[in-house]
Amino acid sequence: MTALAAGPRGGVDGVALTIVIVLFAVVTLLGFGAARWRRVSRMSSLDEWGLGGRGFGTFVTWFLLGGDLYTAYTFVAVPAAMYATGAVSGFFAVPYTIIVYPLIFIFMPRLWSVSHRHGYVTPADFVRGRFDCRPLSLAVAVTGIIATMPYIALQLVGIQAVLEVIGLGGSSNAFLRDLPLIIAFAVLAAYTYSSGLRAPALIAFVKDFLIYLVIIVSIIYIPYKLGGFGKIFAAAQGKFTSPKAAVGSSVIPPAASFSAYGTLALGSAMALFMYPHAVTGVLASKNRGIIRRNAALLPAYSLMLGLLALLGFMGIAAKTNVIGLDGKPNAQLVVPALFQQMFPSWFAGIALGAIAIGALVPAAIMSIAAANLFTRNIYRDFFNRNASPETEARVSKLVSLIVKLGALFFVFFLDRTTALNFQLLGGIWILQTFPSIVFGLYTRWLHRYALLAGWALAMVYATVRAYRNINPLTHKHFGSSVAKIPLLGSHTAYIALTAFVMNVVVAVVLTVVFRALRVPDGRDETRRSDYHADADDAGVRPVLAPGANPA
Amino acid sequence: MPDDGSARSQQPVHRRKLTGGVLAVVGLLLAAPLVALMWVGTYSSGSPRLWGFPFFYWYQLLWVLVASVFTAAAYLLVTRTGTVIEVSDEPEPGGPEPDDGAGR
Repeated sequence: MTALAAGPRGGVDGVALTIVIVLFAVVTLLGFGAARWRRVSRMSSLDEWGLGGRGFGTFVTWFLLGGDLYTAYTFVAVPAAMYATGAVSGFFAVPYTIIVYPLIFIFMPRLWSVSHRHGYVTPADFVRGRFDCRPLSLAVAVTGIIATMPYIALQLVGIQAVLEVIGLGGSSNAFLRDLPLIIAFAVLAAYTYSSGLRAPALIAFVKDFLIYLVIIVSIIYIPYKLGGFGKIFAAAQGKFTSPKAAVGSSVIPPAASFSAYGTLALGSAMALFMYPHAVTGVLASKNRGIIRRNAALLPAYSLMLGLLALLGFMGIAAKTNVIGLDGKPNAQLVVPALFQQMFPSWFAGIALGAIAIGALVPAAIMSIAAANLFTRNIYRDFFNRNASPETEARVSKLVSLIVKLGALFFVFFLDRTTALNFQLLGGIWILQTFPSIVFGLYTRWLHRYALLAGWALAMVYATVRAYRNINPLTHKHFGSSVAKIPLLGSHTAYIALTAFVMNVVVAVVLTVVFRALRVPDGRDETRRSDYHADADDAGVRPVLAPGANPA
Repeated sequence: MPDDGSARSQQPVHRRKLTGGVLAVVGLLLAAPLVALMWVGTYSSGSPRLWGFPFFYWYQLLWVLVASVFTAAAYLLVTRTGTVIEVSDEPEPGGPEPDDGAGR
């Protein structure tokens, strides 16, 4: 750590930077080349551009979903939370990513089947078809878009952390400082535009290989250098029991945090597959069983996530320097800085490149998913009801660029903390689409307007509640995503789950009222058999995008 | 609109109907990780330690593997057992009304 003397982060690490650039170049070539991979027809429909031809098997889907779901949040934000405050705000990600798979095992095959039968590309497509209610599908689509935008911004924060640790971004000129990030994102935008979902699907192979390599090496090498896991946990314990420790920080949650820890895990698990990018990954698979097989195989990534989270504690034990180029401490730097501190430059380059590429894959899929939502559920439903598949693909490609631009603005003009706050809010918001989507897969009993009212109330409650959470140290709003449960005294819970319960209660009560008042229910375009259809059943393939049918 | 309903209605869709016992086992396999992990009080302790890991940490990491095995077992049960039946578009007796329920 001799470089420390040169400034808060030392100079530019030439070797590491070169390796990161080489990895980035390889990924760029793959991204553009992906347009030719497994191509069966023209790229001129959302099934091709937005869902990779809907033909991915178990193997590709494993890489695609793994690369999609485990994002910069996993590699950067979770260890950062562990570093800053310990288990409750960080390690809940482990039970979260365990619980999520049994959940999707239950309902995802139904969404796959009905989507393939009707050519649905987005979850909001399903809601529109099921409930015959464009305001409701608009609500689902808008929630998806506003929840995804800050999530993309968070990926940028991850890439920024890598660049900062390498030493780029020290310039006082704002444009020069952000130039590497702009270039990285422009290249990402270009190949996503030309190759669609095939680009991140192919790059996911590189990402996942690198990430597994890096995690295996770090989980053996770093504890070895630090004197074993016992010392690492002891160091964390020391930090969190010191008088300077942040409020609520701990290595093992105290009894008062049990409900927070459990509800954070459950609420996040229920929310994950409401995100449009997660649904995109599932709908791109070629048959009904693939998602179930993957529910048993994807936990390999959760194991990786659990080990990665511990890098936060290793950062504590190693006394990693997390002072950013602006001279202020930034917990988000802990993993990249730890890599740079512990590894020789060449391997630090590989590890940092893995994080950067790890952020590019989800950013690409998220921008595709958000673009599909806009195209299908805003553009087509409200502006051009007869849009051809070609038009839809063209609009989506364009919107994917705008979405990325929006995320860039987010990071440049709001600060990093805002991106993190909104990502946290996004998780709370997206869970409020659960009743329309998941309950809708099983029953049409809930009335469309009751679902809409439940959603609206929950969105307002959750946003206000999260806003009013003041961070005790910084005195800023959106201090945490946990709050006391109304009517239940001192118990605290994840705001998303509290709002979800209100959402469901309102939906049920209003359903009874609306049914009594005989408010029209709309027409369901799906049938019972649609929810069980598989690839070999007729009517599923070949998929035609709605609108392609001359009738 | 999107799909060709008339052609489709002549093409039956099949699914596996599981026996009550198998269904219960599948339910248990899928619910076990949820119950175990939501019950934070059962594992919020530092001991016994394993390779320096407090119990709280290794127990949850162990559940990653256990949940994966349970989900795989559930997958085998739902794909290998039961009888294949045709899915009818008619509502099941006593089941929710899938069609237009206006004014019901």
